[in-house]
Amino acid sequence: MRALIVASAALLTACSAEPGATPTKVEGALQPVSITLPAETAALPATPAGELVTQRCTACHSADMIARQPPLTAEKWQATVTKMREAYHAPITPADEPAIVAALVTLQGAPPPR
Amino acid sequence: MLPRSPDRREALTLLGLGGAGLATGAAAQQVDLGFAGGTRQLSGDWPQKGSMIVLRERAPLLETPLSAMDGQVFTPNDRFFVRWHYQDIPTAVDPATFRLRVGGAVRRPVALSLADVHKLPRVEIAAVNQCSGNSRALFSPRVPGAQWGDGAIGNALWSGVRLRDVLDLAGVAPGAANVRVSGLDRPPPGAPWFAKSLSVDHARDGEVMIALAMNGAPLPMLNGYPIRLIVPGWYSTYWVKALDRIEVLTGEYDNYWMTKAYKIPATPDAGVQPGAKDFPTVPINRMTPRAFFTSVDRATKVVANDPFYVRGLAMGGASAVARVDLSMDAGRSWHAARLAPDQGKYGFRLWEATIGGLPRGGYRLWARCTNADGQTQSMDAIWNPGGYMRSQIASVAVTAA
Ligand code: HEC
Repeated sequence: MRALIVASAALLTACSAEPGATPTKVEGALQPVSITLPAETAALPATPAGELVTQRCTACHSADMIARQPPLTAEKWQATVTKMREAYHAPITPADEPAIVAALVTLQGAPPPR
Repeated sequence: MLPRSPDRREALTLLGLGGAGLATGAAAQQVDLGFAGGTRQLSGDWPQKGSMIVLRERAPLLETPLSAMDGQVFTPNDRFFVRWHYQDIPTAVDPATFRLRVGGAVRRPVALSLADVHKLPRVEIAAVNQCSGNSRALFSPRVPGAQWGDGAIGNALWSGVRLRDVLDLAGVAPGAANVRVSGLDRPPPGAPWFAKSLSVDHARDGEVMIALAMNGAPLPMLNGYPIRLIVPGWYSTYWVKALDRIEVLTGEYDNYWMTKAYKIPATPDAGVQPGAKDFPTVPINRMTPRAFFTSVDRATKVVANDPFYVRGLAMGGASAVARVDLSMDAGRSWHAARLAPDQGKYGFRLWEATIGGLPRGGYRLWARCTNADGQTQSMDAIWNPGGYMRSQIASVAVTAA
């Protein structure tokens, strides 16, 4: 611990804050704004599992939401798929779920997208 | 903003950073967020945004590299993190026709133009905006959700008007209990609107405000242009972006986003045993203290026997930063870091220290924040299934050679 010397040098004086700094007035300055979002690049592998999940699971969010999840058990994927259906009204039926869950588990083993 | 310290260049040399990890260039740079699968591309492709870590393209989740916050209390607008739930987000707003509607249990529902809002008394506050799931990817065991590193956080000087004054234009009716807030984003068919609620007392506390500007400039569209709610000390799930509806309720708000999502265990530290289920929960609310390293990577190299400079940012959560302490012996002893001037109790506070020369070898350096209420960070990580409220003491590995 002897190594941790907190020096007395007045380094902080170099960091003079701006208390009471008044921001630029933006009154009346709000202009019509429009933005263009970049083209989507996230994609799942062109395998049967990737295609099934792309088809059933990318209507509301890009594929990276799925591809970037940590490794999850089939049970956890099942819970996620059920949540998509119940909470967000994903257009799938309980009967569709086993195949989707199996595809998600398969994809996890596959190399990440991009 | 804080001017760069003259020691900055020297510090970088000493630390052997040499610009690595400083995300200032164009796309195609990589950052390592410090967890398995956490190597990410930086992208400069997002409108009104500089180089950001893309977690999800649609709806956008953009994380701020911690190095982009180094040496300054206020996070630049073009590096401020972005978090939307639903893909249908506002991409065009005409401020001339925009209306903020206040209705429900009020005496007189109103539809306010931005000019009407501008007429109210102006207030200004520095406040940290932190996602409830910031640092979720560092949970162990891992949990599903947006895999944020530590960068779903930023501090800005927000200027605008009090929510109380806006509510008073409509006149809160007797019996009002909660205030529901929502914005221009829309759910997929059948899904619940993204809307949140605050108690009337909280909404009228004079601190909760509606921001018309962020760091002296209009809000970037992706951060909620033209106006967003600011709930100082609380997690950003309540800071509704592109706020256009305020509804005063006489009862509880039973929407999914209040009753199912963003719920934390009702334990003192929001932690439960990994895998636990069926425990009592409450809606996430106040933030807790945290300190971050911004000038060094999580694995940093220094020159043996030469003092080195390190700095970062701290937040107190629901009260001011009281102190930041550093340890090199896993918390057995702590030494105060210097704090830069306080710019508001809900904002970031810059901390820094010079560490005496270390003999060759490997070390770990911890930074711990304590707030004015005496609340402090723990060495132990919490766990909960939502991946919320991580605030374990941060540390970096230091190799002296
Ligand atoms: C009807 C729209 C919709 C569909 C279809 C959909 N999701 Fe989601 N998904 C969402 C929303 C909304 C979220 C929450 C996003 C947020 O909070 O940013 C989400 C979040 C997620 C998450 C993050 C973890 C979590 O629980 O929030 C995962 C993983 C996920 N979805 C996987 C899937 C999979 C797999 C499918 C296919 C079965 C799917 N989604 C289909 C809307 C949908």
